[in-house]
Amino acid sequence: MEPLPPEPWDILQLDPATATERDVKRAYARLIKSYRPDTNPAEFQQVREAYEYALHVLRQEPATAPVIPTEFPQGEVPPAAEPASVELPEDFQAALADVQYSVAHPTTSSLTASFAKLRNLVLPQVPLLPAWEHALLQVFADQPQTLGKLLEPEAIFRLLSYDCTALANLAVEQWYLEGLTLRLAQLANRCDAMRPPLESPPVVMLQMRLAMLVAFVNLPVSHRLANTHYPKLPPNVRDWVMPRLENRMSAAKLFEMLPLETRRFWERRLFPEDNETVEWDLATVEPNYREITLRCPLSWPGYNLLREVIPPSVLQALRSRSQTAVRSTKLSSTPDAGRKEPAFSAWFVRAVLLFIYLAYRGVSSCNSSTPNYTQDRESTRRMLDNLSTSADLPKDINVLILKRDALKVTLERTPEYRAWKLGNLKELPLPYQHLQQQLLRLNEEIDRRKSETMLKR
Amino acid sequence: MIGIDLGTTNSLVAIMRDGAPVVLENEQGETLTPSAIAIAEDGGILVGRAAKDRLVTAPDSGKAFFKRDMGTDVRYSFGKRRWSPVECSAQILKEMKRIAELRLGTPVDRAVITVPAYFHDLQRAATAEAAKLAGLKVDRLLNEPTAAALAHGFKKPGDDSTLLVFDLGGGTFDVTLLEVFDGVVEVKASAGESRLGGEDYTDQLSQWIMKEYHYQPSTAESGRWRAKIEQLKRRLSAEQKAVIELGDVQVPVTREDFQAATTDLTARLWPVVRRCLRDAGVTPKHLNAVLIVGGASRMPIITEGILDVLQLAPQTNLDPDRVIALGAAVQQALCDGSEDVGDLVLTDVCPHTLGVSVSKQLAPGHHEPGYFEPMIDRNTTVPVSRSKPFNTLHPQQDEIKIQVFQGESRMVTENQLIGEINIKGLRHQPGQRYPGVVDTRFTYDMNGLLEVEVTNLNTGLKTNKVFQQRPGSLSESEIKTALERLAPLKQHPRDAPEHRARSERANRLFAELSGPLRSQLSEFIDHFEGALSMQDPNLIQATAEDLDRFMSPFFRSEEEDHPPF
Repeated sequence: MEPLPPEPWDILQLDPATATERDVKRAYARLIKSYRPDTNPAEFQQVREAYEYALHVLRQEPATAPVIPTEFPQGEVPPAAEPASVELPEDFQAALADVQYSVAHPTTSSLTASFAKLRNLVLPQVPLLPAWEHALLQVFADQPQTLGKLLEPEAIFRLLSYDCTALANLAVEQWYLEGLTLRLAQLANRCDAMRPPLESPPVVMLQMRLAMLVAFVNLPVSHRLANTHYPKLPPNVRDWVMPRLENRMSAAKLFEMLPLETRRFWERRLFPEDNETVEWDLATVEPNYREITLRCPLSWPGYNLLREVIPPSVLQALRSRSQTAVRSTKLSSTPDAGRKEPAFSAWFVRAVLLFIYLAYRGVSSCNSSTPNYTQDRESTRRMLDNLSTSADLPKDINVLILKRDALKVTLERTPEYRAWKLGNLKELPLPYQHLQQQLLRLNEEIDRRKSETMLKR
Repeated sequence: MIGIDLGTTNSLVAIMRDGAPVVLENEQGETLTPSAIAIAEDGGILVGRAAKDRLVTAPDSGKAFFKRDMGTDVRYSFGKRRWSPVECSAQILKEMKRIAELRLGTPVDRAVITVPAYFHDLQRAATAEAAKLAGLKVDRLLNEPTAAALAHGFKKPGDDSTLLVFDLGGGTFDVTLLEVFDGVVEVKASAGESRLGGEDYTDQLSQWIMKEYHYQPSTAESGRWRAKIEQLKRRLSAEQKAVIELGDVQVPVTREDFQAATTDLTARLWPVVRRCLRDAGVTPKHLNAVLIVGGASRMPIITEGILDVLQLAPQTNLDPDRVIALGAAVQQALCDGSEDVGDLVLTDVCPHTLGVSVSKQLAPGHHEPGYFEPMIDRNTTVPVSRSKPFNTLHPQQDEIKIQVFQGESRMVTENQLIGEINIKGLRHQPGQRYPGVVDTRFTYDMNGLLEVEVTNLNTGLKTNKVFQQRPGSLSESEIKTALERLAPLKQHPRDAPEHRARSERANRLFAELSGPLRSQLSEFIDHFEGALSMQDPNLIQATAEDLDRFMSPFFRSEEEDHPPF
């Protein structure tokens, strides 16, 4: 009998793009008639694994491969945009606007106060009317953390209990992220503990763990580190790592939800490298993420931060040019012999350009201890005002000068992103599906009791 | 050649005839042979109906229900000697062989014998030994629910369906979930309890009557007493109300009485069903049919319960008493490569998780031994072969003891030790590519035999061992010694009652779950225990909350006793 091909889909002789569950089962049934478990155990196991893999992929597809439409046809409105705000009471609208403002301009007291106000309005209304939910979603779609803080756990549970609402899913995201951060911190500690022996002769166990962590962090982000570490591993170690990864896919998906800078932080924390050459291909790194926040102190000399996000070669090129030249330079045309140029997303390039622009315009020389700080800040503001009216800079860049410490440039997430995100909130991950069922029952009970007491009255 | 259903109460033998399985009758035209043996007054040996009748008048002259003691060291004394359960079973098998030879007219030397899915390997080995004593070569030990499904799948080939086989036999309870498609009968998961069956219902009913009517059967009656209760139980299946004679009074017993007397038994059934569904990743609405197997599952209290829990009426078109034997005959035809069965392929799963004992690094420089590292998860389709590398903890460590365990607990002390392999020569030496690393491979075949092979990656030296025998579950005294060994450990945050309770819960849940959920849980537990070993109160609290959050949905379902779907 001929040996089976290594790839699952080849074993099944199916095309992953078109195959259905039914096809997979039929192919499996056909194959194991010749590779019977009692006569060909090894081949049977191969066929079996291919079959399980294929079923897994087919059942997972919609969840694991979210694709953001790169372009929306003109005039097509994301479906969630319809419900009108007419039904919303004024105090709710006002509170919502308040929260929105305090999130953008954070001070602890204003946040707490506006949260409390909104919470008091929202909580008694759970389950929320569609219009309310819609309004909340529009505001918090990008900020699960904020929503999580706004709603208390009890409220989230109640939300969960009613329906698989998008709002509840959004609120739960925060819990996942917290759990993930904790886990990352622990991973980092373990990595630290493992690091010294790695410098001595290679210890394969440690390599494995490291590879696992690398892959864990990188799987959804980029294959950069994974690509550098994997080839170094012996094949049996890779075999060992791969099944573990599958269990971590949910964690990996969460990681994807973290903002870029947070991910960068953890990556560097987990895998510091001495002679780091960073290559970021935003097209692969950020397929469904349109926001990049760059935050830097006003004492920013200009390049330290940039070094973290763009390749040294590009940076070198940028540094060697005058700022006006930089502004008009297309990065893809930067001359750099012997190295493939990363394809930057246009958004990212614009943000970086803005930073460089600001740096050269004197903002870099300013810090909180500078006597003419206020004046500089004023001039910066004015300059930024000018910037945002000038036609050649994108309008959707928000520039905030945060009190004292930082300058924050935000690219708004595109409406496409929001639409995608809202669409994706419908699917609840596994443990919470379960929880939801539980709560559903609890709530029926609560409702029943409520109606009983109403009747008594 | 033949398929034998070696049951707790009754045994049957079946063959393939003209492309269909049929159950064979003995000279009296009976298909069910009671699984009982007895010694006649003249010292001759009685098997089957005769033995059962003899036991009514002389309870001490023989033994029935010995299947429950298979794989243990229990011995029965009757007829001037001591009998092991294996010897008793061999007598039954001999009788089956005799019936087959009588009907076929040719000598019979090979058979497929069914065993409850939850039989562990010692029990399986005991069954195989009994066959050997009876002069039969065992082609396959087939799990009973699988046999039932095979009979069903053979009857209606080509249909795509998801079946749940609910097998409440005389002494054991098994639930198996199967998918039948394109001539494949695939077992997706099985779960069970080895000491729960129709006989327990009889016991409970007998106790209830004795308590309710303050009745103590006289010594003369004691032999017949059980049969009487058995009959009452059967009548209650057919009618709402039945009458039993106690001495010279007749008392009525209703089906409600029976139900009330056995609630605790019935309540033990559903968690097993749920675990099976969960392992297979199937919800009741995906089920196409529920097959009931085993005489006890015909009781209305069971069928009504099934309808209640699974929202599906159990199918009864195959006789629950015979379906296992029919399936065994189909399997025998498969083993023979007979044309009757065509292209039917049967895949089965391994019912327990198999793994090794490992040390975990809970915090930098802090290792804790005695963790169970699963190699083959329960309900993995067999045959299967999996490998994982393990390494020494210290460069100077020369030896690794690979201890093989079976069970679902996170700590190996609560799982069953199957055996161990020692590997030497692992001390780190300069120039080694994989210092101190061994590759461990578990191979589990279709008959439930486990082969463990350990390879020293540096020398390429392989050591392997086949595990055929597994000891029974831990005895009371073994558990006690294990606990005593743990007692004098120093006081530590993990000994705080609150944390202990949490760990207990977590370990209990760990045993319940499988697959990704189990590894997720394991990770949460590891973090929590890591925090405990670091003795950092903030981290302990944070990890504890995480763990609780993960666990709460599962436990809430248990407390409410609602199915989690």
